[in-house]
Amino acid sequence: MEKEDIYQNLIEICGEDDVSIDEADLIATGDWIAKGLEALYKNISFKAGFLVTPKNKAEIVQIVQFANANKIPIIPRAANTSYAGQVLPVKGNTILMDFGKHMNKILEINIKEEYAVVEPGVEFWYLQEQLAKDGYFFPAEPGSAFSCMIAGMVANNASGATSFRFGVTHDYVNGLEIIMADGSIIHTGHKENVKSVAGYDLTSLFVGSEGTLGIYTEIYLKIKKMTQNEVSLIAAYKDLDTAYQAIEKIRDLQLESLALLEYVDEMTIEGINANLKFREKKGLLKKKIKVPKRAGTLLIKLIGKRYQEDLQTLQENLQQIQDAKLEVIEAPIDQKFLWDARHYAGPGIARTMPPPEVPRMFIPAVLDLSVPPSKIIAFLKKAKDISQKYGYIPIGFGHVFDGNIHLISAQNITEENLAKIKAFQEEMLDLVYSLGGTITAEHGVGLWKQQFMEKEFGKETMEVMKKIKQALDPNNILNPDKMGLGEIPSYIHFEGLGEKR
Amino acid sequence: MSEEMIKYYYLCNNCGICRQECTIFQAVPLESLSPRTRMTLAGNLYLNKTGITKKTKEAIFTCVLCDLCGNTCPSGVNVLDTIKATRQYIIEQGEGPEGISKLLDSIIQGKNIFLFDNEERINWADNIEDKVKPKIRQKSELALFVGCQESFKGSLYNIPESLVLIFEKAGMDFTLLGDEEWCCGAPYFLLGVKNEKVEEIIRHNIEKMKELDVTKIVTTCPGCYLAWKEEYKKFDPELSFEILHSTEIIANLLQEGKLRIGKEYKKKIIFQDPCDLGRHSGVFDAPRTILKSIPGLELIELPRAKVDAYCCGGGGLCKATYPETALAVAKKITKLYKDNEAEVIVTACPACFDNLQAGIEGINGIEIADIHSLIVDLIE
Repeated sequence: MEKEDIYQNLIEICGEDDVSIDEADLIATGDWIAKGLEALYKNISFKAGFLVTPKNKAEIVQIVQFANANKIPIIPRAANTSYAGQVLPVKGNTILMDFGKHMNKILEINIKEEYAVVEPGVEFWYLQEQLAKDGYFFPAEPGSAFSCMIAGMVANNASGATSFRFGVTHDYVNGLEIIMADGSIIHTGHKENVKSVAGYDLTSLFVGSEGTLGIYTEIYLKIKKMTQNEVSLIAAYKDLDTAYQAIEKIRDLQLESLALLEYVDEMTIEGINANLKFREKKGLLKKKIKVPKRAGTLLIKLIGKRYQEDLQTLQENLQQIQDAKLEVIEAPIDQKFLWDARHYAGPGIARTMPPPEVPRMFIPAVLDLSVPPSKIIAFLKKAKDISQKYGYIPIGFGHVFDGNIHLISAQNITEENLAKIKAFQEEMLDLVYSLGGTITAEHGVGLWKQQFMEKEFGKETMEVMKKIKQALDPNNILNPDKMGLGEIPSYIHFEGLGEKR
Repeated sequence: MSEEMIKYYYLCNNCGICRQECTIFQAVPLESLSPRTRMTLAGNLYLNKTGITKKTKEAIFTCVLCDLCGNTCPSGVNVLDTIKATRQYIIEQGEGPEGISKLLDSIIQGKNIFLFDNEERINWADNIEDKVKPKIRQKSELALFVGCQESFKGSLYNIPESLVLIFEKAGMDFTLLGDEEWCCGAPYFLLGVKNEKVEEIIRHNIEKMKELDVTKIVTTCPGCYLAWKEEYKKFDPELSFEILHSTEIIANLLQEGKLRIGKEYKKKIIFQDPCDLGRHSGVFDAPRTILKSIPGLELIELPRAKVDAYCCGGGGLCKATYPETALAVAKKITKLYKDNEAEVIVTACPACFDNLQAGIEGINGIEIADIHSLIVDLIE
């Protein structure tokens, strides 16, 4: 179908104000790799064909039916804060469906029954703000908590530093209302908190499906009562081995109030301190905080009724480990900025140097991998050796109790470096898989990690995933060519990039 | 085309924290209006990946330059400089939004933003002619720089009028330039446009002040205040005028006991921190000192106040170029304040007053008051 015809059909469904073919609405908004490849190579473009901002589910049904009949791709987009290219259009005439403009309402908060019903475009922080009025919260919190939307969290099964204590998004989704690729509407699970084992667990299938199986129109969430009291602790040791002793000690203590336990390497500490210095300059901190730059540093948070007793126990035990440097952070605002600084340690590093003049990218395969928690130190040591071999110095931090390590390595996008990045990714993944780990603990597969899916799961398992996709979306219209379920474009391998600009 | 347009293009990694912060995005949640996308659009224009489209213009010119995004960006992206450079490029291409060329021409030709006869610049003082006319171009240490908005917009006349009455009560002498006052040039600075004609404006205002032996300049408009404090000093680093906002002078007078607010004002109020006075200049305490000295007044401080305060929507020339967007922000802010039980929004900026006044239209139970006009009747 011609572009103009598609445009007119979409206008007929949504009206002129909610359909756009203006380039400003269609560009790849900021994805590092996309921006870089587009800047360097003539034929690479991640521009969508149309942006639609539906007002309600009736419009979505009509759009999907029209797209399905004419085999036009649709990408449902929430806040676009993922780092794996989940919502980058890869096919011509793609319809980007954005929920932020209209479908951004909290439909119900039921404190007594502890659930909430939201539309896809509700921002996570806004939901938290509304729940907090009643002393409640949504416990699964990703690093992008400041900017992500609930639909994106569900589509990526988002999680973060507190997940070992509170769980991941999936643990808090009671059910979903979904518009399927043929325009039918289904309801999975239950709106309220119902214990049920009836039938296939379709909610689990759709959570983490990255927009490839259906479009969420209502999301039924569990909510929890907030815990008020909290304190943070910096525990800095001279090397990884002593830090590991501390981690084992903390594991043995089984502290009821332990909510966060983060390992941060020296580069990460630099990023954290750069962010803290910026806040301090703005006069936002109650006291000056500087995390000691030591190779075995842990950041810890305790919350709940027992936090003071647990803090005392923790301090006594951690002090016994050789050469411990402990600092307690008490003021809520200081704790907030310490953890914000940790969340944004990667970008914080950028504050310490001039802005880059050439395109650059995170190395996707090492961004959020995970190994069994007991193997985390072995992984970190070997990963350091491999990184040094390639001349990459990643910023490393991780959620130690769930074995999830983020290695943030920002590299210039040049032809030579792309080939090196490819080899580096493969060597790192051999290490991860040899330890029984995974390519993605949090950020999802999307576009940039899909080539590794077969290696992680095997051909037969991938065939099952593809059959599910084929059964539910036979015309391959929903976020096509992602998650290793369709064609894998050659540029994913940093090959066949074509003529330079 | 300035390299500033692409300077931060490869630095922004799309984390999106700016979306939560952005005054405009939070009122009009379109991705094209988020700071990160504005940065991408600027870079794409520089790289010739996209052209100047309707939505690109909207994205670049609706930015209120509040810098809440820059205040929070973990990577240190300077959105303001990028936006200004991109505005300059779009204007140079003759693609600026409707009204922009008219505004710029008006400043050059008429010496004010409204293309009024500059001789009418003193009309604001019609009610207090006897107190103002004798002061015009008389030598004094302190000069009142009135600014275009208060000089020509009837609904804002009461701001400088109230300040003059406050000065009178405190026994303070002052001078003013009358029709020799030219626009401070702020719209040019907000658009990133630099040329000889703007320099002529700056030079004129400085010379006229020097002729009157002025050492201190006071403004009620935070836009003029920032222009004098930052841009004029960039032009002439030797400039020795002390630049003050009216709230700083009044707060001092109250603290020194030269003014006393004796009458009660039993209302719950929220103070709208003006971006140019607060976040951009660091003046947060002076207006609060004034408000706290009013008996009976209850000041509500929201988490989004002072350095984190949302812009009113009227800044950065958003209102001049995209009035509907500015109004959407005003409505959102007004609702936020009303939901937090404010009965009155107090402003210390003509642009905030103007935009929020439009925002409260049709909303019952909340009023708006300029800080000068509020206290002038409460002073004993």
